[in-house]
Amino acid sequence: MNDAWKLILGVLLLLVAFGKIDVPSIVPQPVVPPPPVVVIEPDTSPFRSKGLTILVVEDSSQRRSLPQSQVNIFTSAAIRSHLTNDLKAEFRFWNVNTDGAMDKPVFQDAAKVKRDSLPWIVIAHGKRGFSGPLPASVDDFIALVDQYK
Amino acid sequence: MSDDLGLIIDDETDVPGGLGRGLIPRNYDDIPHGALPYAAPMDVEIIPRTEWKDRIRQREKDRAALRMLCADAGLTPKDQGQTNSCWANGALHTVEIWRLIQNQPLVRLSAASISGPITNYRDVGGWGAQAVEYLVKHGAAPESLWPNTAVTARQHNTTAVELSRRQFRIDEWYDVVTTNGMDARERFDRQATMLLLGYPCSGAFNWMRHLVTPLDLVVLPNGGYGVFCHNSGYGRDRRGFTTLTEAKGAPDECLCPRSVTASLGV
Repeated sequence: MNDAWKLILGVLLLLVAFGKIDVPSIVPQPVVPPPPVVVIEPDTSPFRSKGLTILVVEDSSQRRSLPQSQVNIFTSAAIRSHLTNDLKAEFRFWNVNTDGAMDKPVFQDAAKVKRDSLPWIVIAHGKRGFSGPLPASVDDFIALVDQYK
Repeated sequence: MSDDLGLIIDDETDVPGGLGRGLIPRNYDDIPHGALPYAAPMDVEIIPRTEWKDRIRQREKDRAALRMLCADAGLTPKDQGQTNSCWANGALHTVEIWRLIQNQPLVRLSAASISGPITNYRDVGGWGAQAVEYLVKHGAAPESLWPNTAVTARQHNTTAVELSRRQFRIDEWYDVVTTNGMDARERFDRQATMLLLGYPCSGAFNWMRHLVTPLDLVVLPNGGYGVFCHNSGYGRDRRGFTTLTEAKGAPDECLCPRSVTASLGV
């Protein structure tokens, strides 16, 4: 080793000694995998229900003020068939004053959800759900409930 | 199309008037329009005739016609047999249909469970408001507890029947027409409005002394309007379907429930 190399080595040792060079940074480190990410799904369900459950509440004295496309939701056989056969949903269409004390508790809970207007729909399926104004047509209704199947 | 509408009754149809099955015309002097408990006089603005065809078309496209809902669910017209209880059958059928609209479990209800107590177990006629008022105050029993035509069979009025009644009551209803100062066209238009909005009706037609359950306003093969009905007896096809043309379809009494008790029916 000639004098030049000795000088360089001496300087490096001094830098390490005084902390100017981080030795581990120049030594390869083992790769540590990142901790697993746990996604916590937000609880958006307006009421508790294991299966897909839907309640529509209307003021049946106010149907005349609704568009025909929305009125048709209340009696559509297409909706009933889709909810029953395709989605295996439990559902009710109630008047705002309907006495539900002799029906399933899940619908009584659904009827207690705060409503800002009528007609209104609440949907629950596990932790997912929806509470909002009734869609404007049969097609829109089916598109909405399909999001929670 | 005409087959779907059942027996179409117009001025040419051989259905003798006055031979119906138990309707006693309501006397509006004694029981004025809107004077009954829980029965608001209809305060719904009449839908103009210019809108009818589009609305009918849209109801059928959306499969929202009540005859479609009933057919899919297997809810067939009632059968009053040889009794004089059209007035109880026609009114009670609106409760069965409303339960279907609310998606309560399908339960066939006994007309005799209301006509029996009202008539003191005599097989005699009556009018729709009698039946509806009883359905508001007391309710009906399932056919499983009281056969539909057993009007005179007092022994069916058991404790189990009394306990079942509270599950099958009308909560609110509309009194839609009167014959005091309201002409046939307005009565037809009022009934048409309720049907387009999805309310089944208890409709009395004095000309044939019969009460049926109008379900849908329809366009007839000749382009005119008619009222499709479930019919428990007189003037119907083998399935219990009748369509009254406008000439025959202006009701003399029209009552529309707009909510019934929500129950499981067990």
